[in-house]
Amino acid sequence: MKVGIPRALLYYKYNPFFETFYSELGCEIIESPETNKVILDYASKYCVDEACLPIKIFHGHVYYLKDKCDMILVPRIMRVNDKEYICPKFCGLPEMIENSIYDLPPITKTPIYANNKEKLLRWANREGGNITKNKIKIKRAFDNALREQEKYTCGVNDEGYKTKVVLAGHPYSVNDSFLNMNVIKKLNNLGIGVITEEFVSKDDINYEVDKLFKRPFWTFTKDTYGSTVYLADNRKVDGIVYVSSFGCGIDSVLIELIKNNVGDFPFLILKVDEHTGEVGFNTRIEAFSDMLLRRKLS
Amino acid sequence: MKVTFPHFGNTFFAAKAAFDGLGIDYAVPPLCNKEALEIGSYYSPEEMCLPFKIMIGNYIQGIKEGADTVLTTGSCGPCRFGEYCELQMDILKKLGYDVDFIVFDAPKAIGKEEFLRRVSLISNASSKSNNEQIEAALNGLKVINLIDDIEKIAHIKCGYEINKGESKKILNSCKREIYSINNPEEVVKRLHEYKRKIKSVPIDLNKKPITVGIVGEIYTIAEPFSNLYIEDKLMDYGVCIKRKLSPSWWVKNTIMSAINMQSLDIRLASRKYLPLYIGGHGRECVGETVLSKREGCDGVIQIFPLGCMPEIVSKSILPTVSKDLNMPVMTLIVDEMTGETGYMTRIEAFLDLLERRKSNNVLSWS
Amino acid sequence: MYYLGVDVGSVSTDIVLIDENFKIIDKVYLKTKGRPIKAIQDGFRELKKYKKEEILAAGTTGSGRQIAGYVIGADVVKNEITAHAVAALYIDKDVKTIIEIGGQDSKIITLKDGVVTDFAMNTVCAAGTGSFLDRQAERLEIPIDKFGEYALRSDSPVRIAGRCAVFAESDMIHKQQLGYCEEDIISGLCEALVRNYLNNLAKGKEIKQKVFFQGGVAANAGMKKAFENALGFEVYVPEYYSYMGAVGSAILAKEYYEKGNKTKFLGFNIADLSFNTKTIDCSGCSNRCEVVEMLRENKPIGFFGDRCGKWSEKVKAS
Repeated sequence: MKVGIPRALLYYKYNPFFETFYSELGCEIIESPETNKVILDYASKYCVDEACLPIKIFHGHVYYLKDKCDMILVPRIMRVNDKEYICPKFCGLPEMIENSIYDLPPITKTPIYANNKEKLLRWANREGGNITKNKIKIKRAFDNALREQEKYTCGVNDEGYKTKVVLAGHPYSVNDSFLNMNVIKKLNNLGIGVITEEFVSKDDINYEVDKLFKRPFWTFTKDTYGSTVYLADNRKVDGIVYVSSFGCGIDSVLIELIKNNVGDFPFLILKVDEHTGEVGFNTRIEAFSDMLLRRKLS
Repeated sequence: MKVTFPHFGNTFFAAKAAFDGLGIDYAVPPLCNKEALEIGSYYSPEEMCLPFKIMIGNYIQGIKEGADTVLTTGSCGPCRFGEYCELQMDILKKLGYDVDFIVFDAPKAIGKEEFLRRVSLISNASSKSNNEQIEAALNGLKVINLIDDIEKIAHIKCGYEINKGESKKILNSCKREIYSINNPEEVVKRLHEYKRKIKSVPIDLNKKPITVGIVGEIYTIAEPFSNLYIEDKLMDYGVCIKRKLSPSWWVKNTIMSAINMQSLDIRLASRKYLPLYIGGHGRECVGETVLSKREGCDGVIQIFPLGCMPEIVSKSILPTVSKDLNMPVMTLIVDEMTGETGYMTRIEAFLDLLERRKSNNVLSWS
Repeated sequence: MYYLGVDVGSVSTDIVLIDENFKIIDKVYLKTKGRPIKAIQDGFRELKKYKKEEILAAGTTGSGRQIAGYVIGADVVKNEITAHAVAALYIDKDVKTIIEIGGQDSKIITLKDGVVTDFAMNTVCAAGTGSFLDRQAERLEIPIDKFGEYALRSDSPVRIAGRCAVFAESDMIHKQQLGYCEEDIISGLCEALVRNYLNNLAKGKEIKQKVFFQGGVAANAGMKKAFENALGFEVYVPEYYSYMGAVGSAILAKEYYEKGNKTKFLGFNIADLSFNTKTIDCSGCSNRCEVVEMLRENKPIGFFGDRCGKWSEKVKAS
């Protein structure tokens, strides 16, 4: 059986788990390529217009895979921590996909509650059950998948740069270099190193988050807010670069929260959608880098 | 303490009755209007959703009338509404308004003790006895149920009434009148009278009006200003309106959700298309669309604020529902830039479409 | 005996007269220039050769349909989606899809068995509409009526990002700076606008043949070709493509008359009357409606914008 894995959304964080799980069950894994122009065209053609770019891109990847495999992984990730959510669009992702793209092979629809192991195992049993009836095999695949996932860290922490910024944003905005127009490389070329939220400890994140009136119920908000404000307040970085998609509801809150709490700390927001021109994008990064250097000199 | 609160459809009638009963001073912000929206859009993050912006306008207008405490509700996500209070507090603080916020979040999100503490902030400000306080709260509930009921009846009657515009007139005069009364018992009494009055509007059952279901994000469908008074317009066209979500529905739904028994019919109806809770009222939107067909609607209009996350999910599902049920569905997205001309053209064209389908006549007009 | 149709759009005002056999007897095209009443009056001045009694019924449509309705005494005031559909259906019963691109908005209308089954309309973005193309023509210093010709001469169109007017323009400027020739840029622009139209407005809608392309932009042969390339089949531009709204409303007026109703048409002499509009900030309640009052010879003939109906009922009563 060929299982298609779209290289989009939380693929960048949790792919080792899914890939190991399915290959241990004896499936052949077909991954979509890194996001490219063709996938972007599918994306804007086969997704509701109002959705944000990352969700559209996911649609593009699914469209790319639809005739190349026997089933497609559409992870409906409900939560990864207790009392937190990802985003409403993640909760309804399989429905968005099946109502926007026709002639699909079967897709996975079982909700994923990754906040504890038993609940996650329930997903594995349900979805694995479609592939094999052998419960022991599923359990073994599941355990190995978790082990592979634990070994894996995504994110960046550049060493050896005089200037450093925190690259904030959802994991897929930070890691999909097509979506973010190669922002990491561009910053590096300007002599700026990058650190991402994965390199800030949970305690530091929680310390910042607990100062808020209300604990954010989105995992993205909690992690990005906590890590960014921690790095900024403790002057571990020289600036914040935030990659955000137009129409992202979470970002409209999150960016404001960060702004309200870091004062006049250098903060560059890079908004992207499928029409963002690269020229203007580069100009902004360059101007920001000039500003950081001047601040350092003065 | 002088309390203000955001507008949300008919809730201010209930809030007024409750505060009158509690003997707590309050400032009802002016009904949502352009000024509130302008103020709100000016001070809110640009990509924030419309309800947030109008609410900021309400708060500031309420504060200008002397309020020092803002009363609002919360939610535990995953839609943005749950995060409103945090940002709104920041915005008002930055503007230099020294106000207290009392946020009613669900007890299960903030803990029962914290919830009771927040309730006590209100009850301590009232000099009335416990029994009187409970009665005041109950009167508030009665008011919201009655006024939503009257509105619901008027929304159906307007399609069948013999004297065109009568139901709307009664509804409007009802709202005007009870707003001017400061005695909660009297308000409840007058509402009962109005309910009888609207029920006795003479109708012609031979009429075959178009019936439209209104679904979508609860604030934008229940707060008339935010949807450019779509229901007023539909009533003028003699169209029957069915809308399930309203402030009274919200109260009931919130209470029932404590035992997970809320809106079973809607949840059941949505199961085929969207089996899970996705935040906001995305699932309700899909469920109601299915129910609308069963209840005889000719078409459904979905309304939501630009960028609304749960409704974007339901919007992508509705075309399939529409096809399966053979019932037209139109989506209207509202924000502070919505132009009335194009908006009205689409509503009119949609009604034409429904009319023609119904009469199966290529070229007839209403 | 004739029927009158008036389409007051944001950019142009079109007036047509049709006879019993749906034949177009006379037509007038004017720029609205933000003054719809003046445009109607200018148009009527040209039509004064017809007597009031010769008009059996009158209809208005377009974004200024309400004002126009008051000014001319229209019998039928209908939105432009319905009007366009009606006109297209009278020309050809087999039309299944109408692509309409006007001065400031664009629409798609799908029909089945002669009934509108679905439609969509852009209201936010100006990219792809007539005004946008006008502006680009001006910037490139090419007359707009030559735009189509230029596009057809290109054999390797440039790819231009086309969703938003602002982005499309800056992308075009960028491509110009890179030295592409005008033909390829114009052709690329047409393709971008068509792609944008199909991806947004027409998303999820099946475009069935026969397709009519109408509205002012249909004059542009480059756009027609770009639609045909993208869809893979022929797209028809009806003879009176830019008058379809007015034709539709004249047809609706005709139906009105045929149902035995009398016309309220005020005649072409209203061209010489004075019309004014006033804005009243109503302070009757906290809705604070902005009420527009229309005056003919300083007498109020209509009000709009009041929520409670206290103003608009005044006219009905008198």
